Amino acid sequence: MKQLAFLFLCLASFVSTAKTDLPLGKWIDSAERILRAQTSASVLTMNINKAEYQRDFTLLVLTDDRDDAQKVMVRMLGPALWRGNMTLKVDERISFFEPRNKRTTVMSSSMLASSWMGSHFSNDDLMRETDLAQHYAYRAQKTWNKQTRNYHLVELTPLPSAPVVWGKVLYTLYIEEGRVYPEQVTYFRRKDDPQPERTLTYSDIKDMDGMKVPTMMEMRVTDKPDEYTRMHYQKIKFNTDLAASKFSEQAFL
Amino acid sequence: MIHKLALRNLLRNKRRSSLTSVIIVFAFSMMILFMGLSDGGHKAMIDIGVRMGLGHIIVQHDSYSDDPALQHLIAKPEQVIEQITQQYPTLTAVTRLRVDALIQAGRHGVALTISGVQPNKENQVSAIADQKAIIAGQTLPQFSQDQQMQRLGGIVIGETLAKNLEVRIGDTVTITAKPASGADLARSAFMVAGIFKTGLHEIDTFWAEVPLTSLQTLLEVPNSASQIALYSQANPETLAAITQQLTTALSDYDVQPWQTAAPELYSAVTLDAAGMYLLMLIVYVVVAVGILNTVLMSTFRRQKEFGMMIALGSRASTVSKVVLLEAVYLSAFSLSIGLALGLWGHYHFATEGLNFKEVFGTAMEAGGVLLPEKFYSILDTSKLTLSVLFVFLLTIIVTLIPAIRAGHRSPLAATQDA
Repeated sequence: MKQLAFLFLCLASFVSTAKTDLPLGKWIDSAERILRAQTSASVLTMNINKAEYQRDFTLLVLTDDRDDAQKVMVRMLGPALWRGNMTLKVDERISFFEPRNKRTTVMSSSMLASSWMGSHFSNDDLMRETDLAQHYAYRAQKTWNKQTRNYHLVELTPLPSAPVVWGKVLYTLYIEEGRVYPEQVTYFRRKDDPQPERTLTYSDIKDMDGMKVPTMMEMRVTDKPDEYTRMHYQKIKFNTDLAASKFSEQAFL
Repeated sequence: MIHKLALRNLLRNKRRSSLTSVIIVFAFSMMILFMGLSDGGHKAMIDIGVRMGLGHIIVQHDSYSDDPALQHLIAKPEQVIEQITQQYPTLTAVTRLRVDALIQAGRHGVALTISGVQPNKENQVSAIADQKAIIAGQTLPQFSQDQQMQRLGGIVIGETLAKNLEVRIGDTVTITAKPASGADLARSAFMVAGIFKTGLHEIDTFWAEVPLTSLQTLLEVPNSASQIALYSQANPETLAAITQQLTTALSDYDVQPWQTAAPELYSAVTLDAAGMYLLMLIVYVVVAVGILNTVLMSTFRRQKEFGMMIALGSRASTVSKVVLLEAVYLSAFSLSIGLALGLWGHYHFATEGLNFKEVFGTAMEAGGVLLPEKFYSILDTSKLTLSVLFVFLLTIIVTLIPAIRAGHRSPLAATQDA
């Protein structure tokens, strides 16, 4: 009887440590940053497939996370009609540049909701990059192993009074060789909704600049099953010393 | 003698007299009815218009109407309110803070106007999110009372907006706006407390109300407001006088009557009233021509008779007077019947009201406000007196020419013509 009680105690403590000890927040943070490292320079194609139109863009994306203020610069390389269009994000400030009339637009609150370059990502998604690592409470829902990968399904619920619009986010990530990889992120409008509102999937692990990273990102909206936006990374260079001047509005010209 | 003659003449041809009388009675009673209903409709429009996020008098920062930026707010609005209510204790004052912002829920976002209100006070004067307009959930004061423990502030949104955002009561939405410091966008979460329906597309789709203090915190403008709205029960003349006095008393601020603050409502009311006057004029002209016709006919038919009177020695003026008196009696008689009928109709609509929806099948929107389903007839005594006098004078003026002509025909020619 004593042994049984001890066993039970052990089991209970194991379950509780299993739940609390997993560094879920850290994992999600590193999964979110897998394609960025300290700095990154990448070329990718973005395919937008909507009922109204199909578009293919080639983008050059520079990121710099060395300071507190995250910096992202996106330059369109093609097609020709769009070449030179740029999006610059420094911390929470987003500005757009249109080369034909040489105009810089600083994003206002009303533009947040509109889609970024016609894709299934909104301007707001650019701004909220760090949301998942900041405004949520984490709970490991499920853990399983597949091949060499150690999978975790993490449920994210918004912290009290967190300024976020999702009621629940399910994050599937896996750990392989000590690195955290994102697999799928599903966004739910409300905590008890059965269907997610949209799904972001990472796939196609490839070796880029000496690091294994997912090179395909796909966003799908549940109520429009035929539509998607795919970002396919062609080339990534990590941790090069990018000049700060690349992340200023002067770089537009 | 001539009075008796005139009355007898009227009664001699009963059909002609009664037909003329019917024209006047009908036209006049209808005029009273329309006048009452249109004035009642206008009052209803104004009453409801000022309750749609407006006010009888609006006090705001001097530059706010030119540039509604967060730099142009009223600092310490309660001091201004105190100054106003000391002078005019009958006025109800509410403080509001307005800003363009983005409301988001899930992947939907809509740019709209957020109005920060004092829930308890606003509820008494506004028709946007009061108990009657809320179709689901609660009003802001109910929400804040009910859920003291709630971690999020309440927000009430329009029905169409709720549909567009796909939100229900209890869902979380975020509001994003640029704060006064001009820095990055500020964002805050609110819980949907209630959904309202005003029937006005603009407000149901692009309007949301949150507690004033929450919005002040979000925008980093503590103790400031975009406007102070004053509500009053006073009649338009008193209101104009108060506005005038407030303009001088609060010289640092911009004091606007609703006519200036909501020009579209004012012009809708004015335009409608002008249309009404034009219609009245047309009806009166038609009535005048109708009366002229019958009087002309009657004098023409009685030429022989008038010739006989003159031949027997009556003066030309006597004949004219008789014809004129006929008109006076006829119009006085018809006007009193018309007045009675019109007032009876007015009384019906003043007590029962005219149900717009029943008559026209839909609710009516005019000048940016939705007319209430029912509105009540209102008669202005001075306007009514003026109309009575006008119709009376019109009859007499119209009769004047045939009357004079009747007295000045030579008896010989009159008998020969006939």
